[in-house]
Formats: sequence, C-alpha cells, structure tokens
Amino acid sequence: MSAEATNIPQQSEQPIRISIGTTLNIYSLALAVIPVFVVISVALGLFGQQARDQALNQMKFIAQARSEEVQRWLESSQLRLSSVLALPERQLVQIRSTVDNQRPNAETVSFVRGLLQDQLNSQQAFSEFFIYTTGGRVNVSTNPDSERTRVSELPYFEPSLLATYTQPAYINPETNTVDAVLTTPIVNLEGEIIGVLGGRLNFDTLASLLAPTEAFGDTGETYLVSLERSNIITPSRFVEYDPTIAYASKGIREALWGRTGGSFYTNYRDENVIGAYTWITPLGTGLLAEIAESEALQAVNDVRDVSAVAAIVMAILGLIVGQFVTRWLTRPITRLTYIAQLAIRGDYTQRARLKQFSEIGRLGFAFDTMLDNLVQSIRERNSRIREVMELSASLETRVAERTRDLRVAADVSRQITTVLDIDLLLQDVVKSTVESFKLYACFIFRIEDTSLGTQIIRAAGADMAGAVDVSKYVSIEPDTAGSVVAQAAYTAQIVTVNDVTVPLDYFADPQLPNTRAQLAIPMMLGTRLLGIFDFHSNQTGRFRPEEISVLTTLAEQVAIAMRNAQLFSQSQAAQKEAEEANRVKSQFLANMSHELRTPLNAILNFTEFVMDGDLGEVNEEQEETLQKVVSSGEHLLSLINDILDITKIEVGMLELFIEDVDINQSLKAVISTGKGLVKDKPIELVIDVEQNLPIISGDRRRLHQVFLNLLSNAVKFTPNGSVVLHAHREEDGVHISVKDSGVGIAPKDHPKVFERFKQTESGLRSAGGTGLGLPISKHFVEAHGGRIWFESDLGQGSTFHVLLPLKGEKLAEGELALEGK
Amino acid sequence: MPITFLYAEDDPMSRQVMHVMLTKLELEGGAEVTIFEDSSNFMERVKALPKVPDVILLDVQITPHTGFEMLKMLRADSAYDGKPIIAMTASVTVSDIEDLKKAGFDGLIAKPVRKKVFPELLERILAGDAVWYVP
Repeated sequence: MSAEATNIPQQSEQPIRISIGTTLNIYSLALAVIPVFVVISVALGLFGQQARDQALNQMKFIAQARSEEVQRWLESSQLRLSSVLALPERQLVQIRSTVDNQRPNAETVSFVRGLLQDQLNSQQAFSEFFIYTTGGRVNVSTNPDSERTRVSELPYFEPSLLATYTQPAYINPETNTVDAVLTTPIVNLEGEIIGVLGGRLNFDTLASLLAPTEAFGDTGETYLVSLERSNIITPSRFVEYDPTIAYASKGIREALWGRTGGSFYTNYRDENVIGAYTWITPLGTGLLAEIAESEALQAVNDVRDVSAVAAIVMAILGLIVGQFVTRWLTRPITRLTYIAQLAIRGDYTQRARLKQFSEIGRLGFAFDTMLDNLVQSIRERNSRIREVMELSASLETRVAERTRDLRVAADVSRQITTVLDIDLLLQDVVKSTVESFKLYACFIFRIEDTSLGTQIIRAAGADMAGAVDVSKYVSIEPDTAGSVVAQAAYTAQIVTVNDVTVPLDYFADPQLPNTRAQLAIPMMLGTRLLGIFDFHSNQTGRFRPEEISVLTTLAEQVAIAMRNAQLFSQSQAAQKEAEEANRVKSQFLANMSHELRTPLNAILNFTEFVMDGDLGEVNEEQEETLQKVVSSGEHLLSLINDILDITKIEVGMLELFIEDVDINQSLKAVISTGKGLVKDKPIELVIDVEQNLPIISGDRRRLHQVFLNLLSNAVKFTPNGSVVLHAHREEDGVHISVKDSGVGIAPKDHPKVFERFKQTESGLRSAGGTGLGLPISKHFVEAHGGRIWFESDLGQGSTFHVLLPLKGEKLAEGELALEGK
Repeated sequence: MPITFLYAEDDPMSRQVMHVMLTKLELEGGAEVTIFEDSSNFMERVKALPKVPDVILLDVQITPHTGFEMLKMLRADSAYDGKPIIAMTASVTVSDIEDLKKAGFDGLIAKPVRKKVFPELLERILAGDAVWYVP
C-alpha cells in the first residue's frame, strides 16, 4: 500500500497558502465595508463643502453687519458730538470764551466743564469731551487731568482745525491704549474756527458692539485690527487684551489691504478658521469675523463619526455572515481534502458522505465512488503482487541455497590455494560443510593401498555438537557389510540411505546415534578413487537430488584439492632435496677452499723463502724450478678462487661489497702486477690512464680482479709485441680497455669467449688457465651495472673493453642488452 | 722498539710460516712474536705477556675457544682497546667474511698470505686501516 502512496505526486502535499475560508471572509468584508466607505466619503465630501460654504457666507454676513453697525455707531457718534455744541447762544459764548483767551478764567472753565460733563453723562459713545485751542492747548476737559495738556503733536490736531474729523484708531503713546477721537470745530460769530471740541470714543462701547452673540457658537468672534501696527484693537475671546501686540493672518492681511471677502485660513492664534473681513474706512480699521473650522464643520464631523460606527457594524455583520457562508462552503471541501489526503497516504477506509445537495455534495458522492473503485482495483493488484512475491520468495530461497552451496565451494577452492596441508584442509572442509549444510556429521575417508590391501581411513570429521574425536584413528574394512562408506568405495557410486531403518543390515556408527539419513559420495580423480565424502543427517529423507548434486560438486572440488596438496607436498620435498643438495655442494666447496688454502699457505711461502734465498743460497736452476712451484701454487689458488666465485654466481649468492672505488688507485695496483707479468717477456706495456678518473661505487676487490684478469689474459696470449692499458672518462662512465697485439680470437670462437670452462683452441694451445676468468669478469662487470665487450680477429690481437657507470648511475638498458648477444 | 705480535694458530705449518715470515722479513724496528698453539686459558696467557701486543692475529677455527670467542674476551678487556685484532683464516666465503665483520674483527688476512704482501698489510694495519685481504 505504501508503495502506491509514494507514487502520488508530491505537490498535492503542499500547504494551502490562501484557504477558501480566508478568501471568502476577505470578499465578504470588502463587500460590507467598501460601499459604505465610498458612499460616506462622497456624502461627507459634498456635505462638508456645503457646510464650509455656508459658514463662510455666515461669516461674511456677520462681518458686513458688524461693519455697518460700527459705521452707523461712528456716524451717530459724530452727530452726537456735533449736538454737544447745539447749545443756547449764552452757553456757546461761554464755550467760545474758553478758547478765545489764552488763559480762560477758572469759573468759565468750570462752567463749561460742567456743561461737557452733563453731555458726557447723557450718552455712552464717548469717554471724554475736551476743548482745545487752535494752538493745540486743551483748556477744558471732562477729565481734569487732560486740561492744560497739548494736542498739537497728536495726529488728529491739524485735520481737526479744518472740519469735522474722525481720527482713525491709534495707539496713544502716552497711555498705550487705543484711542479714536472725533472732532468738530468751534467757530465764532464770524464763522472762524477758534477751537475744537474733541470726543474720545468709548472703546468699551465699541467692544460691546463687536461682542459675540449666541450665533457665534463657542469659537466665533469679531474683532478690529488697526492699520497702524496690524494689532487687534478690540478684546478677543481668546487672548488677553493688549492692543500693542501685532498679529498676522491671511484675514488680517486682506482686511488691512481694504478688501472685503472671506476665506479659510489660519488665524492670529494658529487656529484653522473660516473667516470674513472688511474695511471700516472712517475708523481706519479692518473688521474680521471668524469661526473655527472644527466648529463650523461640527455637524459634518458628527455625521462622519456616526457613519464610521455604522461601517464597522456593517463590517462585523458582513464578517459573521461571511463566516457562516464560508463554513457552509468549506466544511465539505475540507472533509473532501482530508479524505483525499488519507487516500494519498494509502488510507482508503474513509468516505466523505456529504449531506449536501449542492454541486459540492455531488462532488463528494463522485469522490466516494472513485475511492470505492480505487480500493477495488488496488485489492486486485495486491493479490497479483502477492502471487509474484511468493514466486520471487521461493526463487530467492533457491538462489540463497545455491549461493550458500557456491560459497562453501568457493571456501573450499580458496582453501585449496591457501591450505596446502591436506589434513588441515580436509578438516576445514568437513567443519564448514557441517555448518553450512546444517548436517549432523560429516567425514572424509582416504583410500590407501597398503601392504595389507586397500584401506578406508578416516582423514577428517566434524559433527554439529563437536562430540566426534577427530584425532581418533578410524578405518573401515572395505568388506564391512551394511556400511554405506564401504559400499561407496567398493562400487565407486553414490550411496544414499534416506531412512536408516529401512536397510536391514544398516551399519550404524555407535558414535552417531542420531543419524537418520546417510549419504556417501566417492571422490574420484579420473578413474582413480581418492576417498569417500560421508554425510550424516538427523532428519529422515534429508538427502534430495538437488543437494546430492551440490555435495557431489563439493566432493569433486575436494578431490582436486587432495590431489593438489599431494602434488604440492611432493614438489616441496623435491625442492627441499634440491636445496639440501645445493647446501651440501656449497659446504663442500667452502671446505675444499679452506682445506686447500691452508697447505697452499705453507707451499707458497716456504717455496718463496727458499727461492728468494732467505734460507740459504740457491742456484739459478733451482730458482727457476722453485718459480714453477710458486706459479703452480698460484694457479691452483686462482683455480680455487675461480671455482668458488663461479659456484657463488651459479647459486646467485655472489654479493658485492659496494664502497667508493678510486679507479686510478685500483689500476695502479693492477699495473704494478702487470709490470711483473711482462718482466720476462718481450712485451711493451703501454699505460694510457687519464688522471683524476671519477670515484665510482663498486667492489674494490672484484674490480681489481676484473682488471687483472684482462691484463693477465692480454699478457698471456701475446708472445711478443705490446699490451696497452687505456682508461679515460666518457660521458656515461669510465671506459677501461686492454689492447694486445697477440694471437687474437677467430670469429667462430667469439661466442665461446664468455662461456664457462671454454677456451679457444689457440688459447688452450698457448696458455692453460681455468677458463673461468672472463665469465667471472663479465658477471662482475654486469653486477656493477657496467658492460664488457671485445674486438678481435685471429692474428690481429684483441681489445677488451669495460665500461663502468659513474657513481649513482646505471648504463642504459639497451646498451646492456647488446652485450654478449 | 720492536713490534710485538700475538698469533694464536693451531695449524703447525701456518705457525711455522708466520714464524719464518716474521723472523726473515726485515720489519722496521724488528718484530717479536708470541704464538699460542691453542686457545686454552687464553686471557690468562694474554695477560701474562710482558707487554700488550701491538697486533693480535687470531685463527678462527681453533680450540677450545674459537677466534670469535677470543675476540669477545679481548673486547671485554679495556687493556686491549685500540689494538688491531685481525682474523687469520682460510675460510673466505662471503658469509664467513660477513660473520667476521659482524663480530667486530678489525680486519682479515686470509691464507695464503705471501711474503711480498705481508709487510705492506702490516704497515696498513698498524696505520689503523681496515684491511680485508683475500688472495
């Protein structure tokens, strides 16, 4: 089942990034909120604009109304001021007299003051009446402190001397308060202006004109601004009254420029306001009417807040409804997904069984039907797979059995190559056979033809319990009745007893009480019977044809192994024999050398002492004879040495003592001997040896032997003439050659020159010798990695060459191979 | 000062050769030779000598102590440090010579040794050369 599951493409297991539920929720939320939001936004936009326009118009209206009110108040104030002088002539005289004279009398002043005071008390527009002369001196005032002050420096002074005048509001530098003064001239009977009546406007009254009404709400206000310093000259609702402070705003700016209109702007106290402005010419002030935008739009904002709450409520409702719809939609889908995932994991037991009659319900039904079909087909396929697996399992068992058989056979084969001790091998074979084939016991018998006739002898044995004593010598008589082994040996055929109770005369081994089946396979090599492979099982009917076939193969292998081991032990014995013979030969030669050298020591020395006259006078003839004894002794010694050397060479035991060899020194010793050799012969010894020849690696004694051999050969085979020793360095070594003008060597004899115990006919004729010198020399030179060769012809003399490699080098192999071939 | 020799040799002929050699050859300063006919009580006899010999020549195949054994005894005694101990033998196979070298002999004079080379060999031995002479 799991096999099918893994075949499902993996992308179906990917996590769901956006579920249907989430999607539906998002959509329902959007549906609930977006329209509300859009409608409210548009409505608020329109409504807001309208509200702003309305507020602006309202402000404009207020500004206009207030401005007119102020102007009316100014006009009435002017009239009021003029009416002060509408007095009976008698009183007017009094007034005129206050400005006629430079110094009016106190009574008059007091009287006029009383008049003015009465007038002042009867109204509220003015806070002070005062009369001043054309010279600018205040003679009478309702405020006595003002009397006898001068107004000639004040702005209204000069215009006031000409006609009725309204002085725009200004900051009185003395009091730092806002003043507005109306004036009207005082004329005499001739119509000449003799003085001026001034009225100081009461600003409190003006302020009360501008005071806010209920229509102004919480933030609405009107105020006047002065052109003089751009300062607010009427009290504000919001800041402490200080007419000296200058302010700036768009409204103030527009008003002071004399414009009339309205706008949205930030006012003097950084409040966003809807404001209107206008200019009051006679007073020289701008009038502003402002209301905070927030207040003006209060209604709009209220609508906005209510709408927002409504939108949120709708959104929540939308979500709830959406959730409900979502669950109705997704629950069956989730169920279907769950069932599908179970199916992917190989669990086909669950069904969706949706109780809906929608499209989803039909999908669920189709899905369930599909699963039913799938389960059915899987069931069918599984039963087929099971069949195949059962078949394959039985095949596997057979393969395993065959593998085991082959492994045992391979083990045996390996043992054949490694274990050449036949008894060990057979013991290993029976042991592994018992273990591998789970046998009760297993034996190998060897067939031996002895003086007593053919014998069947147990060579190896093993049993499962390890109870068999292998070391115990057991033999079976070939004519033992009922013995399976004996029968197999006698007939040279496989004998199988699958139930030991069947043959009446079955010969049971008392050591093996549990044997129920026995098999004996003869081990044949060609037609020769080597032994019997004997198998015991504690199961009746154990030995079936397939197993017998395998065991037969095994028996064949063992037979080959036995044969090989026999051959090996024979060859080992032969090798031992050969080695022993060699050892004896070497020992003999060593002994011979020792036994010959000891008497030679006496022979040579005593002869030389006698010959040299150390032991008494000898005549020439005696000396010559003794010389022959010495020569013979020397020859005998060289023969001994040569035989020893060639023997060592033959058995590969000759070794070189490698050390640094100075060729010049070596040749010096050879030349010294050579001079002795030619002493008594008509031969000129020519030495042509390069000085400072390189040191080479070699065996000093053996190289000396080679050089001396070549030189003594040259002298030996040259009756008269010359022998030239030549030595020089060459690129690839040191070249030593000995050239003689002697008898030479016939071309047909050339191949024999380096052969052992062979001398050329001419050589033999002229000089004896062992015939071993050159073969030994050749061996030594080659052992040094050098080469030796010669050029010669009969009667033409000979030249023998030796080329020795420099230290640490070897001659190229090609050159070596040329030599002697 | 004559050169003093100790020569242990069981072969009478070899002893005689050495005797003639050392007496007839005119060695510089003369030669005094002591010859042991066998190696019994070897160290006692060596120590009994009036003077430590300048050169010790030992036959190898000698009884009851072989040349190797005598060498070992001499090496064990610091009195003979630096004195050349030379094997004199007729056994000169490769393995024989290797055995001598391994045992620690300072050199070898193989038989037969000739009167014309012996003085030179001695000279080299006394000069401290390692002489391995096989004729």
